[in-house]
Parts: sequence; structure tokens; C-alpha cells
Amino acid sequence: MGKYLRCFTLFFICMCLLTGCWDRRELEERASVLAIAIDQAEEDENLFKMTVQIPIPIKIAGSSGQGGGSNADAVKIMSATGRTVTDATNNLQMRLNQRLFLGHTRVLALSEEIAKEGIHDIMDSFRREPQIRRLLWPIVVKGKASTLLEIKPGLEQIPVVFLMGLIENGMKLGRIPDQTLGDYFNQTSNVTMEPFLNYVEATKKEVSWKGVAVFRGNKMVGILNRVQSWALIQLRNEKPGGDIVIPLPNTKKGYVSFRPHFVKKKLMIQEQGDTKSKGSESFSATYHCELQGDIVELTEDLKIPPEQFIVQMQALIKKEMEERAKKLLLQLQKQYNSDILKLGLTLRAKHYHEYWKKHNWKEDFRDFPVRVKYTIKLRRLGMEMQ
Amino acid sequence: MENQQRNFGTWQLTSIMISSMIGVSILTIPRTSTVLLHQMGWISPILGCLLASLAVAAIVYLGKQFPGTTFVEFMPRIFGTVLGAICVFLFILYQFFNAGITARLFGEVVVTSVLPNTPLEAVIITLLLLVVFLCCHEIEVVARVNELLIPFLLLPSLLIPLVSLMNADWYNLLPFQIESWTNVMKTGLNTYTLYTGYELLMVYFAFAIPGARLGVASMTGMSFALIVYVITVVAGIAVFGYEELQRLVWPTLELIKVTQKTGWFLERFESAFLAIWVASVFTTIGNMLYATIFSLRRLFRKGLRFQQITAIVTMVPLFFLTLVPKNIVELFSFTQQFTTVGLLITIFIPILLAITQFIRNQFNNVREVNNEKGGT
Repeated sequence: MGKYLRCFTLFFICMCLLTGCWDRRELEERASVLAIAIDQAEEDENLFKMTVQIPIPIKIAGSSGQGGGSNADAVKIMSATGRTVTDATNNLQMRLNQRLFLGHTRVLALSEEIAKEGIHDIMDSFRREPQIRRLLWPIVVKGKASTLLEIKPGLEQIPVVFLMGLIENGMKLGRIPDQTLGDYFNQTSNVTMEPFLNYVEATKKEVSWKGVAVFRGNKMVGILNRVQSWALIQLRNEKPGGDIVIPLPNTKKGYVSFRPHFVKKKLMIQEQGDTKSKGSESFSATYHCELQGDIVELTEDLKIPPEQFIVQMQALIKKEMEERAKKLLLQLQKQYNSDILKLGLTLRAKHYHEYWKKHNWKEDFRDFPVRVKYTIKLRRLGMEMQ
Repeated sequence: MENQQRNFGTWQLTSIMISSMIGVSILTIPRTSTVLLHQMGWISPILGCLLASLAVAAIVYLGKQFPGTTFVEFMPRIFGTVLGAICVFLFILYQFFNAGITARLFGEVVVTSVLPNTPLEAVIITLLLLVVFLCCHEIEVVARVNELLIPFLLLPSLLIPLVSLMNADWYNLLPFQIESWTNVMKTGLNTYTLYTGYELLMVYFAFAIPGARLGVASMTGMSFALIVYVITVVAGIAVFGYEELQRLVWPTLELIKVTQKTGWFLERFESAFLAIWVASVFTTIGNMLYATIFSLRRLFRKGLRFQQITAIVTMVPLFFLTLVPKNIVELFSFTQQFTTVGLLITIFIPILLAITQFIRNQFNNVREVNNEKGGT
């Protein structure tokens, strides 16, 4: 009798406890969002328009026999408006048969317009939502953000997968900075630096990386074009950036292309006991940047001995890079007044008492003297002798 | 009473100590330690450790003075019946409340981060049922459970912060300087709670095998906890920066979420971490409640049956106790207030006990010497 009772109790307990997870939702019961785009609504300035991209599992490759079918069907793009992001999500949910699931979101597209107004209010819901991963990529899109989700790249069935590939590959090549949502959050909280995000332009069929969008606080203040962005990631992340194409002097249509492979950066902060400005030490920063790389293209023969050629090219590239960096600093300091170089972090870390406590970096970055010195190490000339 | 089986080895004692100390607080420590100290936050676990080590030393001393007895017996012996009884009572009450708060914090983490639709009650009840099950057994089971679970706790708690250091910015840890010493003291006093759990040794030392090295066990335990905490705080500061840490409720969980390297086996590691962490919280709460209930049993000089009934009965008020804080803000302020009380019970009482005992020993020695002199 006792044995039966025991068995029964055990059975009962198992029935109660082993029912599985309370929050269980099967994969097919979820509408997994791969990308979110946030725009201003056309009809009302105070409303947000949220666009999401949801893949349709059945239509995705592998389903044989459908070869040549239209790619457009592999994803569903929906948009809804609302006063806040959550409001828009709710409105969207009301039009879906399954529950929206944001755990797989990889891209968050923001329109340039909205970024310029400030994205503090938008980001709050992304900070709070536990499903949102800090490793997703926020991207500022020229024009309307929804265009980024509507591209039809042809190479991939799902546009976002294409976009992810583009960024990921760019990151591996060292040409596109890896700027995640978590990085953005850290940079906005950190008083020593300002955030930046990748900036892309999307057309009907294509998307292309245009550079980075510079922020000050939560507001976008401007963009850096590709060339400047590459200079930025050399100085900031020690990533090589893209090939450097320079017109050859004293030729008609001659160009030389330099491909940096390795970057080493050293930031030196000098302290000069400047007597002119009444005893207050004046600080200045110098970036020493070393680029190692090859010549990959030379469209006109210079007809000079190889030894001289190397020296000349190194000088040429050095001059070009220093000019680019100068332009970058000019833009960052005078135009945008936004320290995305992480210079403030180094200053705070190394010269806390002498500099950091006496200055308001948010304002003083503008006038901080920064120099950039490049060292070019030309290693190889490709498969050519010269 | 003193003829019980004493079969806890040194390693078992160490694992009991480590798993009682490392519990919920590891999830919040990067934030709590940087509130006042900013980039120097990693100092605070060291300070907390120094503070707690005093008490641990006291407990080890007591353990050696009274082999085979728990605090229930030696507290009245040192302090006298009335004062001793009050101490015992306070201690039991403290363990009870501490277990309650830990269970609630555990529930909050699970509900906010993983299972938003699961009622908090369900999470807590499951945990408490497990603990009741543990409490229905003899004390060797506790040692074995701890010994069994310790590798699952050791490895990830070291591995995760170390791996996350890959995307760290070391300049976040600088400048190396302290703004105000009062803040350092304040944080030190607050963060010693990271190490609460060592006071349970006052129970478990009673079952050490004669000859087990209590000092070694507690030193290993303390230093391991210290290393884990310091690494976690350093990783938190280096990865997020102290400003961002202030905005995160469970910084360590976020740390795991951003720890992902493509090509590594560590993608989406947070669910694995939580699974391991559940085990570590279970051992924390289990050890605490077992100590509570076991000391009640010792107090009333009853057998295992009494212990089983008490376990089941005490779970009911404990469960309702966990539901007292109305929201997460209130919960954190409760925890804060509880820290102050805990300081009295887990630091001052053991130290006072040890000092009293030490003085008493000295007196006795003097008397004996005098007696000997008188005898000759």
C-alpha cells in the first residue's frame, strides 16, 4: 500500500514539475525579426515608423525545385507607426499571427534624419529589452532606413544576410569598423569619448558602405567619408582600412595603389612646460602610425632605379596619409567637435591630475593639438620586379 | 552529542566554503563595487576579503578550540547561557533571512533575463523544493553535493571573465588612483557581503575529520573567491567602462552576452552560464538553509525526523518572506540594509567570540601555571 502511495506521489510530482519550460515557444511559433529599421513617419513628425524584416522559412533555399523563383518572397517586410518604438512594435504585433521575437535581430537601421534629431529615446527600449543582443549592428542609413531592408541583392535570398555578410567581411578585411550596439552604449555612457556608427546607402538593388556617422552624445553630427573613415580605423582600431590610391606626381594619368597589411599605432602625449600661457602646462598628442604593405598597382612606369622608387613611394604615401589624417582631425575637431578617436580615454588614463581634472573634454577637444605622423614601410611590389 | 561521525575532508570543506560564498552577488558585483570607486572598483573585493578574512581566522580558531561542536554549543560556552542563546538565535535568524533574499534575487534574475512569462513564485518554489529535499538528509550529503558541483562552478567562473577580456579596453582601468578614502572604506564594508557564506563554517567545521586542515581549507576558499571576484570586476570595468556599469542591473550577465568570438565555441553562452549558475545558487541557499535547520536540530537535541519536519515547515514562511519586497528597487534597498545587520552577525560576533575565548585561555593558563607553582 505504502509502495503504491509512494509511486503515485512520485508520478504526481513528476506530472507537475516535468511539464517543461513555462516560456517555451517553438521556433515556428515565433516571428523572428532579422532586422529593424526606424524612420520618421511621413504623415506625422511625432510618430516613428518601424519596419521589420521577417524571413519566411519555407521559402528559403534548400527547398528544391523552386530554383529561379523570385527572391523577393523569402522575406516579409512590414511596417507600423507608433509614438515610441514599443508602441510601433505593439501595432505591428496586432497584424501578425505569431509573436514577434527580437532575439535574432542582427541589424538595426536608423535613418539619418532620426539620428540627427537624437536617438536617446529610441535606444532606451533596446537597452531594456533582454532579448536584444548587444552584438547587433546599428547602422545609419542615408535617406530612409527602410530602404535598407527592401534591397534585393540577388546574391542572397535574405537581404539582411547579405548585409551582414557585407559588414562581417569588411570587418575581417579591416575596412569596416566593428561597431556593435554594445559599443555604442558604452561609448555614450563613457564621458571620455563619443560614439560613431557605420553609415550606408541603399538603393533598390544594392547597399554600399559609405563611411561612418559621427555622433556627439546621442545626436548624429555628420559623416566621414570612406577615406577618412579608413584613416580613423587606422588610428583608432589599428585596422588597415582600404587600398590607398594616389595620383602620381608629374604624370598624366598615373596612379599608384598601396595596400596596407599591418598597422601599428602609438599614441604619445607630450607635456610641455609652456611658460607663455602662464605656467599651465600645454599638452599635445602625437599619433605615430606605422603602415606595412605592398604596392598593388602602378599604372605608369616611372623609369627610376628600384631603390629610389621605394624611397619615393614611401614619401608619397606618407604625405598622402598625413594629409588624410589632418583632414580627419580637422573634421572631427573643428566641424563636429566629437572625440571618436578615444583620445580622451588615454588622456584620462595617463594624465588624470594634470589635464583631465582641469579641463572639460567635451569642449576642449576642439582645441587640443593633435598631430599624426605616418611611417610607411613598403615591403613588396607584388609579382612585378618594379 | 560529540560522538557524531566526523568525516568532512579538507577539500570537502573548501568546496562547501567556495560554493556558499559564490552565489547571486557575482552577478551584480561589477556594478556595486564601482558605484563609488569608479575605475578603481577592483580594490573593493580585496578590501572585502581582508575584512572577511578576520572573521574567517576567528572561525578557524574557534573550530580548533572546539572540535566537533557547532556554534550552537560553543557560543553559550563562551558567552554564557543567556548571551550565547541570543547570539545563536541571531545567527539562525540571519541565515534564514539571507537565504530568503538570495532566493528572491535568484528569482529576479531568472525572470528578468530568461523567462519573462514565468511567475516568480514558480521559480522560487522549484528552488526551495530542491533545498527541502537536501535538508531531509544527513549532513554528509551536503558535503558530497558541494564536492560534486564544485568543478562546474570553478571552471566557468574563472573562464568567462578571462575570455571576455579579449574585447577589453585596458585604459578603462586607469588612472590608478583613489579619490577619497572614505569611499574606499564604505565600499569595502559593503562588498564584504560577497563573502558571506564563510560563517557557515561554524557549523560545518564541527564535522571535519580530526586532523583536517581547517586553516588551509578556509584560506584556499577565500583566495579562490577573491580571485574570481577581482577578475570579474576587472573584466566588467575593462569591457564596459565604469559609467556603463552603473546602468546595468546584472553586469556579469551582460558580460557573458557580449563574450562571443566568431569561431569560438562560446556563442550564446549565457544560457549555459545560467544553467551552471543555478547550481551555484542552489548550493549557496542549500548550505545556508541546511545550516539553519541543522542548528535548530542541534539546539533542540532532536533527530533526523525533527530536521525533516522543520525543513518542510520553515519553507512556508521562507517562501512568503521572499515575496515581501514589492519590486526590484525595494529588493536592492533591502539587501543594502541587510548588509549592515550582517556585518554585526558575521564579522563582529565571530571575532568577539574568538577574542573572548583567547583571553579566557590566557587566564586559564595563568591559573594553571599558578596552580602548578602552588602545588610544588
